[in-house]
Amino acid sequence: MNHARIFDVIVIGAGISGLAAAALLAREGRSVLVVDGAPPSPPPGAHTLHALDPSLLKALGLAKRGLKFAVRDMSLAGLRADGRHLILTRDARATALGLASHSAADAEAWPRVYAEVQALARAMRPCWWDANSCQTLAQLHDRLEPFRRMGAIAWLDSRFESEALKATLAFDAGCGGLSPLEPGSALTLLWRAAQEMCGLQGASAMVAGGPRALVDLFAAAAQDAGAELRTASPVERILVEGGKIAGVRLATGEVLAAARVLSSLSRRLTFCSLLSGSEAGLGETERLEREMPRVGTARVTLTLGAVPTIKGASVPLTARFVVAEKLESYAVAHAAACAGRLADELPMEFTVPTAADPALAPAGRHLVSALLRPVPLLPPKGWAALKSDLVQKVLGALGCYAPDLARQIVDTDVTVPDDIVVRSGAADVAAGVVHMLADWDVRLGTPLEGLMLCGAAAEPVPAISGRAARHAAEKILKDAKR
Amino acid sequence: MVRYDAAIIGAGGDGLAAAIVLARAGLKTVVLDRAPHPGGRLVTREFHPGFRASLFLDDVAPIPAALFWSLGLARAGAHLAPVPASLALGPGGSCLIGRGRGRAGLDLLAEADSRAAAVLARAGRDAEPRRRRHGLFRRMAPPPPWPGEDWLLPSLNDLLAERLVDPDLCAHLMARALAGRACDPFLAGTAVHLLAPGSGGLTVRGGAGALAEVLARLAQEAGAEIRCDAEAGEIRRDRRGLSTIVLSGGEEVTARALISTLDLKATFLSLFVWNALPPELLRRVGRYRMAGAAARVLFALDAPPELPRGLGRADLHLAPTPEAFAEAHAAWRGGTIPAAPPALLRLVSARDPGLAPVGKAVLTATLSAIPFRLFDGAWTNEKRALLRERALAAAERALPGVSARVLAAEMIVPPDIEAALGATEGDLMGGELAADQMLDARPWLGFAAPRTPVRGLYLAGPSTPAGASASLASGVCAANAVMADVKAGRLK
Repeated sequence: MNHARIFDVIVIGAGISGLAAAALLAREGRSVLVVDGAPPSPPPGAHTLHALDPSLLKALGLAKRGLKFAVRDMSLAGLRADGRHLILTRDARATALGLASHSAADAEAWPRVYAEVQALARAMRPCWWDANSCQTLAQLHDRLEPFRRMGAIAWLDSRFESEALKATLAFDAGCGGLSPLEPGSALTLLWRAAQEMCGLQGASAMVAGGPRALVDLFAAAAQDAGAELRTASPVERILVEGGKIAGVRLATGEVLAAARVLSSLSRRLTFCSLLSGSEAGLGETERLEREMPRVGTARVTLTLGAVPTIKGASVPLTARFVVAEKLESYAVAHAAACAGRLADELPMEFTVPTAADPALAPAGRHLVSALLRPVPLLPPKGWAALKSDLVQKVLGALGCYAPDLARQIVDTDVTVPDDIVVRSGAADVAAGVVHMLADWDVRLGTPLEGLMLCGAAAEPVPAISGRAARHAAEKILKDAKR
Repeated sequence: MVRYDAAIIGAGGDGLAAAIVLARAGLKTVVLDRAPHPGGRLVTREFHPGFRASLFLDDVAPIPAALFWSLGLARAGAHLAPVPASLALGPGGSCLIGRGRGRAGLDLLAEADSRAAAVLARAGRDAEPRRRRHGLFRRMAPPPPWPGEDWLLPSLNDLLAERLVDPDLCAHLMARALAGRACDPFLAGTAVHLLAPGSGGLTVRGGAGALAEVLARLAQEAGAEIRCDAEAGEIRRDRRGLSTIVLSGGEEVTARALISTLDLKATFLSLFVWNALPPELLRRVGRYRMAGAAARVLFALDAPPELPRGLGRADLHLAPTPEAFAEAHAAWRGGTIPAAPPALLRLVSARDPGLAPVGKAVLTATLSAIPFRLFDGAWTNEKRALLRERALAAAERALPGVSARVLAAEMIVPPDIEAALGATEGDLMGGELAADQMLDARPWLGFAAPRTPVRGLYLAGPSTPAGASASLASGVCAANAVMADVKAGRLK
């Protein structure tokens, strides 16, 4: 009774992308099975949302299902040791006023540069949002060329002079795992500016109920559309017969048949652990092994017994705070992370989720969630040895801005790159310029007929977006029509 | 006051080549240099009684064949030969390239050379006058990509690992490309170093200074005037477009066209009064990144070290792992002297016995990733001594017994190079090699070297696309641009 049913599509991974793809396919009448070893869970590296695909939300009707945002537009606050914190919002004039105390030239340049970047980013949407890259790239060739070639440090230096502003903006350049010295990191900043949340370009948002609520919504949407969810056993192998996908085998030994498989894992995990080398193409597997990125992201969540207070100029607690004194510290931290060490000064971003949504913690408790980047992906002695060091560094850095914090801590939770990679495969892609400007078909496609990627790793820059899932589902539906 | 057709600042290889081309075309040309002898970085002198060595470079970057013959270098007595072989002593053992060994490596080097040649050809073509293009579509189509553009974005380590199987060979080619540079081979955009490798050029018999002598003689025979001890102090421009160079002695030289062979920063930041140029241009020049990272130690030895037969003439790379290059780069960015800087040893007297007395030897060490500015202050004598010790320790590991034979050592660190040659931050490459400062984007996108935003001023030297990967070519590009503009009546 092994071949009980044949599914149209099997989706590996019950994360947001997997569930989104399943929902879109099931809605069109396909029989879809989502397989995972654990119940739907939020991506462990998630902390704010900045890239959810608007057309996906609309297609799945998530707003009607009760998707609510606790914060729709988080401002970006650069914390400074001298207390002159920098607040960057989408309102260019207000931001320019705040910048004036740091640098008059930057205050004057900000509205111009901001408008210019937003305009170019909007023009890049056909490439990053829809499957229309060639034409867009040809049209924008000249304007895009500096972003293609420059590192974030070079680009920021070319536009601004104050260290505070540059160091604050540079945090987002690292979300693809690139050093700010590398070409492509400036392009990552442009990609961030092209995204939209709640109809606001370049905004960051926080979902009411946290990432958990978002995943539950997607899971409900998939199940209501008719997709089946099996979370008892992970996929052990993707089965290939004669160069075509035949189905998957679960860890329990059960074989499920399907002509199409969507993997929401990264390309490396899919090829190296779910397929044998000869099936995936030896060259491809070798390249993936060789181009293993060397830096990752870690997350430290602190539970506090009181509301954290930040000294210095007043900042709204619903902002996302960037802690990096110098632009150079990103390059230093990247070099240290590549060598398997933690840098002395770790750039980080932290938010206070309970400031906007108190329901996330028990009464009287407050959360601080810190995202550290870049940190070593595979330290020589393993992450177990580095964990306590990491927490100490976070507390040390936060202590400069919130001196009472250390006394208020009730609980500490650390998510290291190991967990993030193992559970979602989101962090093990090095997004270079070529990857970011490639066609969707290239990022999604594999040499095997019937197998496609649909997860965060197939996005131009790894992020919770669901856009790859939408494109993969659309491609399957289109192929069937043909 | 004498009026010239063209004045060239800097009597290095590029400047002299430009002078030869211009003077042969009948233009009244003068070459100005602040040093007492022409040559610039091509200088060979005695550093210890009886011992001679080229101070800044042992090998000159390749010279395009067409240029070599059209300048008539062979007839004038320049003896140039490719580096016979190179040997890398890595942690995994040794690895030799040359004379038919290391086939895969040679293939990659040949590909790099052909790409570099194509880049030069493109740079040369762009310097010539624009042919009028007909039709709407021609104008709308973007210019064809530069050759070598697909090497702009990958990292050096990925590119080598993709092509070569042997990790020792990878380390060897990496060391060969990065000699005298500071570079993290894991970062994207570092494969461009293969287009302008740090070692493996041409060896000149008699040292690099001999090439300068030949060039200076050819320039003078062609009718160009070479004025040494003439430091350009300031450039003034009048309304008719004539440029006047005020020499530091107060004398004035007026010319229709100026070619600067200094690097970009030295050209725009030191030759003009601060308010003579548009502030936007100055800001852009200020952001141009320099990457001076080479230090040299010249050793006079009282006996040549024992080496297997034939290897004495090879480049000896003490090639560390890619991780060590990355560590050295991190130290360089932080302004510290790397604990084990990658080094390149050359027994120059084995290649050219005339450099040392009979029975003695000259050994040079080129160290990479040595910062121009140290985070803890100036380059004091203690720090120089520390670096000399490290260089000697490295040499001792490769050539056991060498440290006992040292008679004298001379140390050249990046600030010395800046002081001697005027190269900003001691960077002989005239700017960091990066995707946004290489090929058509050298010195920046839309600059269109050799012409500059200042009318009548042309840029040659290492900060131009041609100057980064070849000797003499950038000077000839600039000279061709001057002649084309004279013909088109664009210069008064």
